Amino acid sequence: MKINVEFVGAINPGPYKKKQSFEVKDKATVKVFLETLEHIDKGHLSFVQVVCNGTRASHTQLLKEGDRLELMLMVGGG
Amino acid sequence: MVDLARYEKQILFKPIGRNGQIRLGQSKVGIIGVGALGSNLANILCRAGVGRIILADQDRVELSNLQRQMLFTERDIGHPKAIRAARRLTKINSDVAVEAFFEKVSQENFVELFKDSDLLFDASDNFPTRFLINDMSLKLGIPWVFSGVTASSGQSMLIVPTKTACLGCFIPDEDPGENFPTVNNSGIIASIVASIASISAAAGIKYLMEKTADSNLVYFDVWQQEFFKTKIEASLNCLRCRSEKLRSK
Repeated sequence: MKINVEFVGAINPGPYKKKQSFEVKDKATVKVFLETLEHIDKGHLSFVQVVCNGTRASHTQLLKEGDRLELMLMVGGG
Repeated sequence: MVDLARYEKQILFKPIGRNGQIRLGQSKVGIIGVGALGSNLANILCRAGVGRIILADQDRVELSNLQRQMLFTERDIGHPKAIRAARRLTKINSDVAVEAFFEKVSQENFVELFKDSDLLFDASDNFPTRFLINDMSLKLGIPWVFSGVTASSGQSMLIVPTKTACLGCFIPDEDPGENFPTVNNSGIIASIVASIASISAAAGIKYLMEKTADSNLVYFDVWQQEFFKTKIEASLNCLRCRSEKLRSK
């Protein structure tokens, strides 16, 4: 299935465009999708907030065809 | 006796008004960290007329701080941030009682520094300190405003024990480890600091007025002009605040 993803703010899009479509397996969770983004350090994934179709999604949420995700990295400077 | 004429325009803002201004003057807030966010927050809160402000930071002012740490000048270089900030704030608004502590905030001194505070502001530069604030906030029942900035991005959220999600509800790990984007490797522009400090200060002042919280996380990138607001639900699996939730029922 296809989902649409936008990398917002401080999160590095790596080899992808800022707005990019991804193919993911059926019944994939947000976490499974995030782990496919190999340019993001695995230790940083807990700090990625995901908004799915306008509502904050937990990393255990199941994805579905056509979902629109926005990924934001919580930043730590002060 | 406080001369309310100083706050004439703020009092005209209906959600604050005269009663709200008096309430602000009776409020006590703590600011953990007096760097970029902390100095901007302290500046706004002091000018707004918050009655008592506690500042704590273990660092000294450096030349490279002056680009974004609004309370300091070249004459402050080498001096403790908390002490110099307090001196400046007192000159800005002598109605405000400012207490400064040149020390690292820890589990050992937290209660002594911030007991009886109505609200705390996170202006630290690392997540372990934020989780210390989170856990002590839960223990003491003191609300706090979570803030963070790096590069041109930042986030802000008012966290009220047993009323909103806590930090652990949406960030399960304490420390992101190596290579995480920080001010030291990704830089920072002053505009995002001022923006997030303004959002956090407004959220804090609103809480002091209304004692309500909507559990919204605000994320802003000032360079890309991207603004997000999303509601964060408390997690039933959060080990940090679960016992507090149960206790409040």
